[in-house]
Amino acid sequence: MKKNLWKYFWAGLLVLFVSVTMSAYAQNKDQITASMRDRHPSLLDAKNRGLVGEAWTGLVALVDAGAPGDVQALVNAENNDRRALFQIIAAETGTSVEEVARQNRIRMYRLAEDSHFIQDQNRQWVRKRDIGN
Amino acid sequence: MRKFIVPGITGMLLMFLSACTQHHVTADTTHRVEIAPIHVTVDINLKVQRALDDALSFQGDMSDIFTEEELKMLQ
Repeated sequence: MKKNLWKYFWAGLLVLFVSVTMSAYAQNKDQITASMRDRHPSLLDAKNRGLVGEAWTGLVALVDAGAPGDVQALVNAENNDRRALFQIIAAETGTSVEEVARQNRIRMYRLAEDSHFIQDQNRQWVRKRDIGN
Repeated sequence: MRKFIVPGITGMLLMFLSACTQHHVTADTTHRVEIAPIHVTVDINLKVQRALDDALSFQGDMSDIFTEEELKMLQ
């Protein structure tokens, strides 16, 4: 009888641990998404001004190395969030972080405006409208 | 009679071993598409794209990102 009680205790503890971990995980993803959503207008503005572009790595980068400090801070914050999100999605989908980053590159390149900068295979900055065609 | 026992058992063992083959079937969720205007052939991983879209739908509409054919595959 006492043995059974211990069994239930450990099972309950395990369920509690899993549920707490899962909720923290979901909360973290929501926080990252919210942070990226808040930053989106500023990032779009920096892209429109030709200061920031979508890099081959699936992250953003400075097109103009002489961009103001606040733009560099914007890039750093965005990349921190992207890296964290890539890790979560990689775990969720059972793929590698590199694969998620690659898929994000495809997504962001397709979403880019014609005037936005993207990096080509040789890591050179080009406006989207000037590539191919 | 005993003459046949050892070859018989050996034969049966070989039959069992040959029956123990493994079959791995994997469902691939990727398909090859040409990404325009960049002339690079890429693999769209639908599972990952769906997860990215769930999190980042505020960046743009699915129809801005995928072709009609790809959208059908994503559904």
